[in-house]
Amino acid sequence: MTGIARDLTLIAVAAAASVALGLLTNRLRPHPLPLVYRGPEARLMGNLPPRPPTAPEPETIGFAEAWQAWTDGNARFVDARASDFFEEGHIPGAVNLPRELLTEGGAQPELLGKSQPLIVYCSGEDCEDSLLVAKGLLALGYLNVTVFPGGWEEWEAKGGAAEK
Amino acid sequence: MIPRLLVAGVFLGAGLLKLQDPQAVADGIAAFQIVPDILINPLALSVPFFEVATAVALLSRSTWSAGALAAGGLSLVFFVLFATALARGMDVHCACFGKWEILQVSAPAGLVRSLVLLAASLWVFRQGAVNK
Repeated sequence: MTGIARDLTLIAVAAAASVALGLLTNRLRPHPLPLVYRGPEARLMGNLPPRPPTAPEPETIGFAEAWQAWTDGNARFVDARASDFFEEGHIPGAVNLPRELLTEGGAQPELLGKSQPLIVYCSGEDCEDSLLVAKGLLALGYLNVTVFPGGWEEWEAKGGAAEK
Repeated sequence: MIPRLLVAGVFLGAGLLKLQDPQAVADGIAAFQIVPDILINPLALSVPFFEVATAVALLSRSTWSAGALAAGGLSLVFFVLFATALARGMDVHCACFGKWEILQVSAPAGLVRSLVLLAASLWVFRQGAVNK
């Protein structure tokens, strides 16, 4: 067998073994991946009660409205970022609810009443977690959920209050 | 010797970190919007093992040319993924090192990194062929 043929045979064997090992070890994981990929939103919604067809889409607000709601104190802020980022700094009074908490455990967040205004944010314009968590909260029966898409980046950049 | 160890180190690190969080790897693959859903999870589960096998092959005297060929193939695939993402105006942050955000790079940086790895792999393969 020539050198290149031997190399290609070795690679084929390694590839086959990798597929077998990957599928085998997946079965041993506490949360195995399904065979067909499901995106973050599908995973989140799969762990939550089905949304009624009449359920509203979460509305979005800008910094001025978010700031006004915070100073008025009548809304609860929900930080959808990972706990590491939340601990580095967040909007004072916010509760940390990363999407994994809803996705993996189907956890019922300990928030205020179902009609309490909730404002969900994540890192900034580029992250989608605030929208996903907001949809999840609506599916759980929370009635007044809005998204602050500017998120922590805009809040911090515009001098919003922070706590650690 | 040094390029071979460097390439092996990169693939060993990438493989081991990916093994810790296959879901992050699957989301990373999906972000390129080019791989069919039915292949994403099988790839996310098996590519890390293949990367570790590639690194191990590179470290062994009897198999390092196969390891270099595999490393070159993987680098070429990564290069094509980043190039097609950039061509479509997407700035994808790959999960090349699992969920370690500090190692997640933008598409242009990923393109350059893949090209460097490809060049290093081919150089190692050529050295292996010359020494046989």
